[in-house]
Amino acid sequence: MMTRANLIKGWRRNGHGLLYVAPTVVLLLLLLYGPAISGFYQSLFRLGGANAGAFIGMDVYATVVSEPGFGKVVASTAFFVLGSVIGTVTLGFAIALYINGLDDVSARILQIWVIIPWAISSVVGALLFRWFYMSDLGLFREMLRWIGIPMMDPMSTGTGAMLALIMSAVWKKLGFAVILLLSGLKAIPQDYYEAARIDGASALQRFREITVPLLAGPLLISSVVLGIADLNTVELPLIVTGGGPLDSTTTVALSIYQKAFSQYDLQRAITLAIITFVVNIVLVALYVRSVRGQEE
Amino acid sequence: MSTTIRKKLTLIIIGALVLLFNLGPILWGVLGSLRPRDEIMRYPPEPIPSTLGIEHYRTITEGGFLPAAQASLIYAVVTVFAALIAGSLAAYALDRIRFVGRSVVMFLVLAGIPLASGAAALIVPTYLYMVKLGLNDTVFVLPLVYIAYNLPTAVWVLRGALGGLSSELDEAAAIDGAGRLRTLFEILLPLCKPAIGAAALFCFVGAWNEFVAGSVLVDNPDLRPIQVSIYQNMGYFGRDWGPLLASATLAIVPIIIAFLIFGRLLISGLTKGAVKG
Repeated sequence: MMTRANLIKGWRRNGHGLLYVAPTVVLLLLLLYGPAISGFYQSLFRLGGANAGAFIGMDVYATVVSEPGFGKVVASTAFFVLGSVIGTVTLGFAIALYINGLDDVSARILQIWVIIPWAISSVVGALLFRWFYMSDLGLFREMLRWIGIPMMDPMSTGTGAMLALIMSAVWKKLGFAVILLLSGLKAIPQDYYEAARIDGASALQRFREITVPLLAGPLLISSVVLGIADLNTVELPLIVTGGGPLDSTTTVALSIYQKAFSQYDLQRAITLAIITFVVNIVLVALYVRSVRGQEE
Repeated sequence: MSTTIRKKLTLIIIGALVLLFNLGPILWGVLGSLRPRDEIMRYPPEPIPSTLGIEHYRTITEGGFLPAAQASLIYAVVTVFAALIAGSLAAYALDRIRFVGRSVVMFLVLAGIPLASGAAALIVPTYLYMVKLGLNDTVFVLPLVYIAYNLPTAVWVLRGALGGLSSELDEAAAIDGAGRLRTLFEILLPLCKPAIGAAALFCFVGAWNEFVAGSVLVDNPDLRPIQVSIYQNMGYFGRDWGPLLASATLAIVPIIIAFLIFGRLLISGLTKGAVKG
């Protein structure tokens, strides 16, 4: 039976809890979730022109999706996001395995080295990437010439530009994947490997049967986080390739940004943004599930 | 060759490769920013500079770069303080109080971490929303947005740290007559210094590095953040790499310094599940 004292205690507990989270909840609802919801609502109305404010419902979605440029943007985005995520996670995994075998001091130094490109801004990262890797004045192409592999200007073909864009994303985010996967590796008890070794498991078997399954969580989380980041990056395509040549590296993120703020076509921009937002929600749901899974 | 020597050699070679491909752009950028103009533009590039100078730094500091750096510094500091205060209160409640709606708030925070990096999807709605609220191009708009973007990470890092502290501390404080606020600020938070440092660093870096919202939500040159200033320099200087590299270098100096000092905190923060791409 609920006594009076218990009731007061419950009220106070709930009151305190809600009071303490109030600033955070208000800020997030107003500034993070609010714009997203209001954006969807606004996308259903004409945003400018003669009939501004008129209800158009989902028609604009049908129009945007059936436009010829849409398929191309989706394809470029998918290629860029998948290529970057697979590249980053694979290379990050290899480096994490390598660092995991080092002594503490070297491991710490390498971790800090490898995370630095992740910590600098995307604008500066993209600028420096172009300068080092893509420019004919950069050291990368010069070094390739030294060893006799002349590299042409990556911007001269669509494929070259896409590869450069993917490489910029891998370079920028690699450290993030390394740190996350390394902490996953460190959490695997050494006894598992000992026991497997005693049972005569080969290095490859130990990797396949112990490392990979126990690292499934961190692999999934880093892939999802990287996927969201790559899907939404405006800076990399804007600065590394400018979306070119001939729109071959225009991802959906860049397309939204350019449509809204250089072509002032807010209607198409917000429609594309809401479509992207829905994809984000799916990825966020995956993220929340896998982080919760990790916590248990 | 003995195995230890061979192992050391492999370590050095792989370390050097990581250094080259990972830090190459940064080192080549810093080096370029210090070289005379004609030497930067010379083809083929010469790795060893003949002289070093600061002419490009003069060029950019005469432009609008320093005011932008100052604006970003203010945005970042405001973000850090606001996110730490709101974040520690929320983290405490989420970890220590079983209140109604706790799981909903937990979800809002956790989902907010990756959502906040969804710049492309959020920017157009945010822009329209801020225009409607009349906040567009005001001094408040970027701090508010940056707080909202970085707060979920701050809450998550702090909640993780508070969760590692025994509830006996709270009980002892209660016996001494301390209320919840005093327990949090005088007993618990002083024990979470590494997490506070990590959260502060995440918020600072997040606000300092932000570009998309900064390029859209403010127009006034006095409110322009540093990343937008660098981007505009790209249009202004074009293929004149010297001043661009100088502004890039100045923008990463605070980050690199913070990293060399607090790098371990950040790595521990990252691995505690507070993950943002």
